[in-house]
Amino acid sequence: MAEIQCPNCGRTNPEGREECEYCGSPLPQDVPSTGQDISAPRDQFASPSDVPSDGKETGQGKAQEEPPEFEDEGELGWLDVLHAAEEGEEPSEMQPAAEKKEGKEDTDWLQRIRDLDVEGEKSEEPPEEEEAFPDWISEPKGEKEPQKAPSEGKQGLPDWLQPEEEEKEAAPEEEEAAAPPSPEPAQEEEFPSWLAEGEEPLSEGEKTIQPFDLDEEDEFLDDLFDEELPSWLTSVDMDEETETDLESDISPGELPGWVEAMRPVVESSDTSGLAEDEEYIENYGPLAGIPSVLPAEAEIDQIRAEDVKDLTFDLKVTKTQREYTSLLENVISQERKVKPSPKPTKIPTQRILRWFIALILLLSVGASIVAGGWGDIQPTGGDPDPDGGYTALYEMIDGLEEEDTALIVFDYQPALAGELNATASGVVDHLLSQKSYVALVSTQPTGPSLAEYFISRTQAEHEYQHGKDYINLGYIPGQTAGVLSFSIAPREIVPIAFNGANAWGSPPLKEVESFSDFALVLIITDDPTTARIWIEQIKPYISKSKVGMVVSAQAEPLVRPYYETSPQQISGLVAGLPGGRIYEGLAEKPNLSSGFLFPLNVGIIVTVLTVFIGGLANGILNLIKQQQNKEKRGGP
Amino acid sequence: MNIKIKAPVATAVAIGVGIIVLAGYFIPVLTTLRFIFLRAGLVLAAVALIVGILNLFAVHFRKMARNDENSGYSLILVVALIATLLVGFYDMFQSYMFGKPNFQTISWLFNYIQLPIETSLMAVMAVSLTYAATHYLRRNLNSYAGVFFFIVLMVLIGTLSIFTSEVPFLNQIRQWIVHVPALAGARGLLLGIALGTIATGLRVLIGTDRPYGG
Repeated sequence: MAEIQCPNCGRTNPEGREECEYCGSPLPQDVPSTGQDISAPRDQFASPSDVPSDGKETGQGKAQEEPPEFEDEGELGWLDVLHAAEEGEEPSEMQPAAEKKEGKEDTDWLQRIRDLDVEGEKSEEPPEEEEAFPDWISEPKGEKEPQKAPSEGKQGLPDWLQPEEEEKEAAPEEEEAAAPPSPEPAQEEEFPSWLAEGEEPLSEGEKTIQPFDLDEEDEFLDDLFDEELPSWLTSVDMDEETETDLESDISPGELPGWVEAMRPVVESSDTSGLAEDEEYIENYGPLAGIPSVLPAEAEIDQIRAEDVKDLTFDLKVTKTQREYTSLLENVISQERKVKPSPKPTKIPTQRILRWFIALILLLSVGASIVAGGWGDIQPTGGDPDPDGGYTALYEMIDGLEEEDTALIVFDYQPALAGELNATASGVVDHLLSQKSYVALVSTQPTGPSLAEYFISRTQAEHEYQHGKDYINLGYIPGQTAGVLSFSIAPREIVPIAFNGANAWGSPPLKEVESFSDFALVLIITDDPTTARIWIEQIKPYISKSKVGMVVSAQAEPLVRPYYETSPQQISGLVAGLPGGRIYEGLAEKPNLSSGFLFPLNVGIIVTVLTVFIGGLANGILNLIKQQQNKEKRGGP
Repeated sequence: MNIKIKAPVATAVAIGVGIIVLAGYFIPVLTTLRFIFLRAGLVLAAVALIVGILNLFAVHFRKMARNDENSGYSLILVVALIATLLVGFYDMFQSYMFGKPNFQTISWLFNYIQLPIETSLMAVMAVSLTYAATHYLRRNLNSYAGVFFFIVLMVLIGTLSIFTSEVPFLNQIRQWIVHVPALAGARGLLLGIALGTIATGLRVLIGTDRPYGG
């Protein structure tokens, strides 16, 4: 299928199109497709991405495959093509070489300019080219822009020659007189007379004076100005002295500073890259045909790591920079590797040791209970600590009068009933010994049952009866809100007792109208949070009553600040079995704490010995294992 | 048109009730209103407990119906729950209607089933903690582990009543540990809890924190 190449962008168009479907430039209808670019752009930036996947070649890709051969004079370019089209000839490759030569004689000088231009660009010293050509000659560099070709096609002349022709039209007489008869009128129309003159008289084989031959520039200028310049100017013989004087008189032109600053400066000695950039011609899009356009797609995008890997760069890097580079490379390469997570070293569970510990504890504590655990042991330190809170609570309870009502809060888990029942037994026993009424309450669902258990088991000797000597108010829901509500209006919050009886009509609560009517509030708890809630919520409503606490040993550190602060938030405190034993010593009435203290001590001794011996053995084993691991690694 | 009014209404109710309860501490007129809200809160908490029990029952009933691997435990739980509930209703009926002594049957269940089981679990925990303490240096052998190990031993020895009367400094060491570093830490914790409570309350009051959803 015949195709027409666009003289502007170089792309192939189907036959019959008048305009390029890529850039819109008019297409030469008579020019057959030769499969070669007319104004083949340089495609140094062409990349594989320019070739579509369907295999069709873009103009750029095609140009890359078949680079233009400017050396071949048979394919000179757009001017020849247009000229041939005007004459009705087809400058195909099938034409004889002689015919081609006849047709291209007119454009030899342009080809020479182009060749010179190309050579000048390829040379290492571009400024010399500028010096070799006068400005009006170097300007036609822009002729290389193929866009101008169609507009000039009619006359076959570039713009810079058009004014000459206009002048010719303005003065036809002069032109006729100056122009010699020519066998080819078409050529006469295209070229000025002074250009035609130089060619006509010469015969074949003689040296042809080319109008823009760089080697004979002086002669050319003489010929050029012979007709127009006055004789006095052309006939002056400039001797060497005059030449020297003139050269010395003429100072080299100096550019202003700001112009100098704007001048493009090539810093690199290697200008090849710059030349390539300047000669890059956009192939498609709105900027098609314009040279020195920066490519829209950065070339660096096309670079792949695999391509760059084999390239060598002459970079001056220090040793440290090289180390950093290798380090970064290692880090990046390690990122792609999946590291198996180290499996934790399995430590044997030592099931035998666990059973051994349990057996020792059971046997020792059991034996202490059976063999005289109920023996009396003095509490820690002998005398009770006056700041420990035991004495304060004792004095507080001891000061209660008969028929005073005390509120006891049972807020602990059944799991800790063993410790807290024993700790509180002496305190409650002292309280009941005062013949006081007691009201029981709890903020935990199991609290009422624990309270009943406590009264029936640990205080059985007092023979307190529900509804008569004590009253179980049951469970208060709502945690903080429940405690607050109960403090504000106890009668409304808990109207009935645990067994459904009228709580506030019974003797224990008959005289109680508000929370402050309780002579004592004793809180038994194992939880520091519960202790804090009670302390915080009831404090504004206990103007006359006092607050005491019995807590487990684990809650002591968090509760003790409420006792040791000033003013005190709680008036008395008993913590743990030792505290209960101290209180019982103060009351001079041994109870559960005194009985439990010996088994407790035995249990603690066994525990300490087990922990010490076992811990020491395991520590030594660990140390040996670490040493073995170090030796395996070959370390010191 | 889909208008979601749940979130704004819940937020408005929570903020309004919170502000009234807080203002009740300072404005005597609002004390009665504050108490009404508190009582309503108590009822809601009690109902929530019942809802929790029903949910527990439903979950384990479904597990039992699916005949899962551990459905046997669910069966025990469901049976125990129903049995305890029936016993409780029976005791309540006896006590409320006939004035019988306080919940005798349910007390028996508590005293001879729940209390021993929970106490035994605590005893097992004592054995486990002892074993863990002996095993601690097997896993960690550094200065922190050594300090921890030493303090555990000192506090345990200081709790003893037998030898500390003859060797007073053991008890003094324990007293110092409990009253100085432990107490300082406890005070710090309490201050932190107080500040955290204030911050949480303020966040709820201004609607930043909405634990009720929305």
